[in-house]
Amino acid sequence: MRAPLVIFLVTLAVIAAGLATTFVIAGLHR
Amino acid sequence: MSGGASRALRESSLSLVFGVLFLASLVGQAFVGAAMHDEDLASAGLEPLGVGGYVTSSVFWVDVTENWQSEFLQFLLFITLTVWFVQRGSPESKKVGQRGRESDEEQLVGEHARPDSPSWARAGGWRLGVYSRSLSLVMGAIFVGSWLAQSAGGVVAYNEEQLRERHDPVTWTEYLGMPDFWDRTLQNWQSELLAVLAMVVLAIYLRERGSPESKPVGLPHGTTAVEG
Repeated sequence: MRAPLVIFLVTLAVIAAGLATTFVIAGLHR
Repeated sequence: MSGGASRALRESSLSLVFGVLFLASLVGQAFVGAAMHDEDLASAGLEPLGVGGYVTSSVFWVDVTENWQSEFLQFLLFITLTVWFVQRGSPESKKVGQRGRESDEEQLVGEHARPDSPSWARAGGWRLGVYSRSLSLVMGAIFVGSWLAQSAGGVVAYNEEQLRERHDPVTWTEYLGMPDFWDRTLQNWQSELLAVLAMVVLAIYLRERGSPESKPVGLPHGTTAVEG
C-alpha cells in the first residue's frame, strides 16, 4: 500500500507547489 | 530491479503513466508557450523572456491554473452529482433506485464497518462525516484554490498587456467582473461538461473491451451501474 500513498502525496504536493508558485509570482508582479 | 520493486511499479502503472504524461505535457506547454509569448513580445518590440522567464511569469501560470480549476470542477461535479442524479444504462451512474447517500450497511460504516475498514469509517461522529466527504472536499479545495490562482495570475497577465498598450491596469476585484476572466473560465468549463456528458451518454451504447470505464461488451444497453 505504500507506493500509491507516495504517488497520492506527490500529486498533492505538485498541485500545492503549482498553486503556491502562481500566488507568489502574481504577488511579486503586482 | 528487485522483484518486489518491479511488482510495486506494475501495481501502480496507471498512476505512474498519468504522472509521466502530465509532466511531459507541462514541460511541452512551457516550451511552446514560451516560444509563442516571445513572438508576441518581439512583434511589440520587446525583449524575449525565454523559457525560464516564461515559466516564472503569470502568463504561464494563468494558462496552467485555468485548466486545472476546470478539471477539478469537472471531477467535483461528477463525484457529487452522481450521488443524486442517475442515467439508466450508463456505467458512470449508479442504479436508478440507489439515489442518495445510501445506508450505513451499504457503505460499511459505523457498526457495519469491517475489521480492515479505514479507521475513520469505523469512528462515527465528525470523523465519519468528514471522511465520507473527503473526496469532494479535497477536489473542491483544489478547484477553489486553482480558480483563485487563475484570477491572481490572470489579473497580472492582463495588466502586463494593458500597460504594453498604454492602458490603465485593473484591480483584482475589477478583473473578476471582466470578460478576460470569464472567457478563460467558461471556455474551460464548457469543454469539461461536454466531455462528461458525452462519457455518461456514449457509454450506454458503446463499449471498450477490458476497460473498467465501460460495461462488458455483451451487456445490454439498459443495464446500469456495471463496469467492465
